Amino acid sequence: MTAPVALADVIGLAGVSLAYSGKAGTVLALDRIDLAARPGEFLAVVGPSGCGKSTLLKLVSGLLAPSAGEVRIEGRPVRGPHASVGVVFQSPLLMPWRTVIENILLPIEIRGERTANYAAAARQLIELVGLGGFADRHPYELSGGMQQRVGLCRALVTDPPLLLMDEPFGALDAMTREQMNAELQRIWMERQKTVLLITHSITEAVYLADRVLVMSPRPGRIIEEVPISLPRPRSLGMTETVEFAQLANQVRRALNAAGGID
Amino acid sequence: MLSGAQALPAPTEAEWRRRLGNILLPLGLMAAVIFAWWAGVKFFGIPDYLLPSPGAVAERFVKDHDLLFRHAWATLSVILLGFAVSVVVGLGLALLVVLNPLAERMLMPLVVGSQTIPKVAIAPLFVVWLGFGLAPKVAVTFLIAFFPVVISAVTGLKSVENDMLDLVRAMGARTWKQVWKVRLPTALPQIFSGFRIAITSAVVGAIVAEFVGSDSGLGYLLLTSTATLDGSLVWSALLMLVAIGIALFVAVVRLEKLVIPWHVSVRNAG
Ligand SMILES: Nc1ncnc2c1ncn2[C@@H]1O[C@H](COP(=O)(O)OP(=O)(O)OP(=O)(O)O)[C@@H](O)[C@H]1O
Ligand SMILES: [Mg+2]
Repeated sequence: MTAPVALADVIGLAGVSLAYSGKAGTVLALDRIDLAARPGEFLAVVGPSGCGKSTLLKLVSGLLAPSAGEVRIEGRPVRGPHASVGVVFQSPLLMPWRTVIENILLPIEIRGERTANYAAAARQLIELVGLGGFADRHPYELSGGMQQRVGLCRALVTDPPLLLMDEPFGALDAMTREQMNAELQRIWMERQKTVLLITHSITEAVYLADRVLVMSPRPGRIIEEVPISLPRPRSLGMTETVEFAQLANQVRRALNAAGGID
Repeated sequence: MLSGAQALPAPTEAEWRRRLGNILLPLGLMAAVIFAWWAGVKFFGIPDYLLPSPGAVAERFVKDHDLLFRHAWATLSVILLGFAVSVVVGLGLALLVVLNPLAERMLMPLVVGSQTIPKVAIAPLFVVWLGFGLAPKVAVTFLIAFFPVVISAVTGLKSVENDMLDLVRAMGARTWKQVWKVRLPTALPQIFSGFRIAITSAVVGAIVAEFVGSDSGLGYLLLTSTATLDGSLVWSALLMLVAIGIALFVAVVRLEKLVIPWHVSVRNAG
């Protein structure tokens, strides 16, 4: 390879718009989005419901092609889905005919690799998200929050350098959510991943991210960027400090100016 | 502990009574039907060639069981072959139709059109085209049985959530992996309900084929024994056919439970 790939932005969006066209006409979901994520950066996106956050994630993952502008991953234009990206979707999307561990090993199967080589890693992830003992259960035996955590394991099992997450902790209670946030921070720091996290929780965004991007109501645009320079590793205690509250307020004000979070 | 099965208490007396009822009630109904049949024949003095008594049929069944089983075997092979071809061709057509909208527009009119052709009218043509052996009978059976397979499989293969397809596409799955990992498993419950209808239609198809051009099978036996007003043989053959139909249907249901134990319809059946 000749290009200095390591220096390129992991995610690069330039003037990206997306319009859905359906029977009832076209809907402009995203309007001229510019976004860049440096290697190892943790980005959080907040914005009102329906502003195009999930759409943004589908564009980056290559599932949707932009109507205008260009999406690049590691410097190369995106032409379709690429296996080096782990995606956690907004709904758990577990296959009812597979057990928890079989669901987690699905990406390995699709790559055509031997699942046996990843079984240990998968079981470790199951323990990590607090689902020890449920590896051989089927999704209908799990609560919504448990299913979401299985979806998270499935995205992590391939140890992807780029992780895209669409409200991965939306269905969790406050306690479990805090635990998951701490785990996510630990995994991110250990494995040097680039993360794009979509969330409805301002606290979660400020606690985890290097930068919080605030979106406007539809058609979604990025209206504010709040850099979060709190030291790492961040502890839960930090969420009660004045600095944290100031940053959270800055995000909240931007959201309110845009028309509220929900 | 977590595993549910061993934590359950042993079946109570009420549970045993329920299970016993599950067996006894259907048997009781059957006995009632046979009794009503017997009483009707006796009371109205119906002649043997119109409707023989159950006793006469049973007697005949024992006496001619060699003949009956030989013909039943011939019919069973037609049913099973016809069903097998229907499954293979039906699923193939459904995949083609689901993956290719142009194929759907080209093939579906033919598939639907094939069902409006009267089978009794086309069966003799099959004999002319394919000879007097197994082939024309399997063809007629196929013509009836493949339709429910195609229709149910197309519905099933199409009823996959877009998000689920996005999920495996994001993992790098191309068309065939999408079919194999998502579409087919999602469609299995629908496909099996198609199989249930298809196996029953295959029984009818085999008999129609044997009516028209055959020298063996229960259809042939029905035709000749009706012609000679041999009531007890007609009814022996008919009951044999009913037994085959029910057994095949049950076999498909059993297979379904084996293949899709995770599906709600199977789980709720207990
Ligand atoms: N497949 C689609 N076809 C047509 N319109 C769509 C489609 N998906 C989304 N939209 C529209 O695009 C807009 C953005 O949708 P998107 O799912 O990206 O919102 P979101 O920000 O993720 O919302 P939420 O926070 O509620 O998940 C919505 O107004 C929605 O109506
Ligand atoms: Mg969304």
